[in-house]
Amino acid sequence: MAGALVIRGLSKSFGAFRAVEGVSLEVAPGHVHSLIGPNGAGKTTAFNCVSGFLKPDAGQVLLDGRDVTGWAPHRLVSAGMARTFQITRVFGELTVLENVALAARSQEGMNLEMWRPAGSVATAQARALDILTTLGLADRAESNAEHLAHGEKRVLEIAIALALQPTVILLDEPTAGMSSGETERIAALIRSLSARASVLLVEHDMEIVLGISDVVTVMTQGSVIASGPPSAISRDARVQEAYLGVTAAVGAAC
Amino acid sequence: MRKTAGLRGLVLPLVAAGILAILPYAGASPFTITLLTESLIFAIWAMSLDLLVGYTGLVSFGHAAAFGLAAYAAGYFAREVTGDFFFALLVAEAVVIPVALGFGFVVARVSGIAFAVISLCIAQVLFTIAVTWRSVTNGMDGLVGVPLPRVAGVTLASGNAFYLLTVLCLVAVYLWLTRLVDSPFGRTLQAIRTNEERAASIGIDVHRHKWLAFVLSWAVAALAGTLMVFLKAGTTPMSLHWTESGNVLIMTIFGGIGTLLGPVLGSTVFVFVRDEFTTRFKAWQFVFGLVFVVVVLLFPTGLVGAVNRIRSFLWRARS
Repeated sequence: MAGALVIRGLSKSFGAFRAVEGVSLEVAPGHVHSLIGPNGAGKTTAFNCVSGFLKPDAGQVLLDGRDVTGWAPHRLVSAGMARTFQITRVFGELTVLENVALAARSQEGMNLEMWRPAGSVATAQARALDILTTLGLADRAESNAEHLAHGEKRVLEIAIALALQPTVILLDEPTAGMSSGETERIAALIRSLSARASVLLVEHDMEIVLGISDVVTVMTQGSVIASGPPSAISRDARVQEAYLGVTAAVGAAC
Repeated sequence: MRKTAGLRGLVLPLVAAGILAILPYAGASPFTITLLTESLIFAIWAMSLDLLVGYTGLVSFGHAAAFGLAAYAAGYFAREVTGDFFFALLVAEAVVIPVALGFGFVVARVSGIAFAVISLCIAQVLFTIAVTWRSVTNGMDGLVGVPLPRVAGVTLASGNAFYLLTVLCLVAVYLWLTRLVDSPFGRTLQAIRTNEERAASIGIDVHRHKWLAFVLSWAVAALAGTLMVFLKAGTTPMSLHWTESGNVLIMTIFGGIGTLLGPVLGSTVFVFVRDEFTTRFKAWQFVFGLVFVVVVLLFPTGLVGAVNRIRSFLWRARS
């Protein structure tokens, strides 16, 4: 079966530094596919090339079989791709509901509507509230987003992405800075997302990834060193070397 | 509930407009009315700037460009062809909107300091043209001999009649902009102000929306410029000068950006303070500057923010 998201030979350099070199992977429909690697492996650069925030030097990005390489972020959204941010970027002074409704209206093609009040777009409001209910944020719907706890903001990020009704959802380290309890909650949430969309998850925490992924792709120094089901990845010698090497180095530094 | 809120939103501006409209008949002197007319024209101009600064997060240092360009276009047309106000306004828009489309396309690609600088450059280019293209603009002496405005064939000979026309324009612009900023489009502008990348990632075409906001802002400013050229019966290159861009920015920030009501308050205070102090001593700008700095430091959201804070303080004290 063709992948919902196919990345072929993606490369990106900054000056002489090759951040990403010939990365290929294929996210199957309904899968949670994780892209992991130690810090500086080029995951985030690859992520940004796929989501339109960087233009790749070479390679191809196919979304549902359509070549979307180098498309601007807003065009990717209408093509069915949604992303979240590693550093939470919810609209702080808007309410939680309005944050999601904004995305829902955008998805409904209402962005240029200048006459009706935004709150009167009933379908968007209803859909936004529905998503918040599913994700367990409904009781915070009327709070300003800046007043949410860190973990809740991460959930809101995902709610905003879901309102765009994507076929592929890209998550950039959704558990960064979370307590272990919150991490478990997000992990369960990510797993449940795969019922609605294919997920490409970028993480550096190996443990979270192994529990919830269908396929794991491992990057170090800009290149893919291994790709496969979690059970195979956790036994892979090169992966262990890359990860344990880093872990040992970090351990020594502490 | 939403309906009553909508009605309440209408009551305040209509009551305010009613009070403004009866002022000439309640003993306000012709001089006060002229001053008030000027401040209301500035209010329209400042609201148009608020759409950019307060709602889209684009600080323009060249908003005089739209104002002065409209003043020249409308004034020239009125002198050469007809003093009909709406025809002159139409001509001003027909000149300003294409220019805004052109400049806006470029300037909407940037934000922050770059936007401020480029907008300043645009205004200075127009200023230079106004000074040097003497055959049309009459150079530094400016455009003179603009006739009295006519509306539906009736010449607005008295200051009061023109004042009422200005009040009407102000109310129309206020109601329209209030509606606009609350619309889905208005909300996308506020999303862009908060974070452009975030806005793009929910499918908002950031460039197109900033461009459109720029053109709408200029179109509203063109109305103000048209009114002004009739009020003064002419205009000079100073209407395009960067000091004018500075003044309207000060009025907007002083009143409170992102509020629409703020620019109206800010411009009124500005015009009346200027009038009060220019007659007493030359350094009135120094005084206004001090007041401006104090207000902005104490109340970053301007006069409107100050009023809101005092109100909520009294509210708490009472309960």
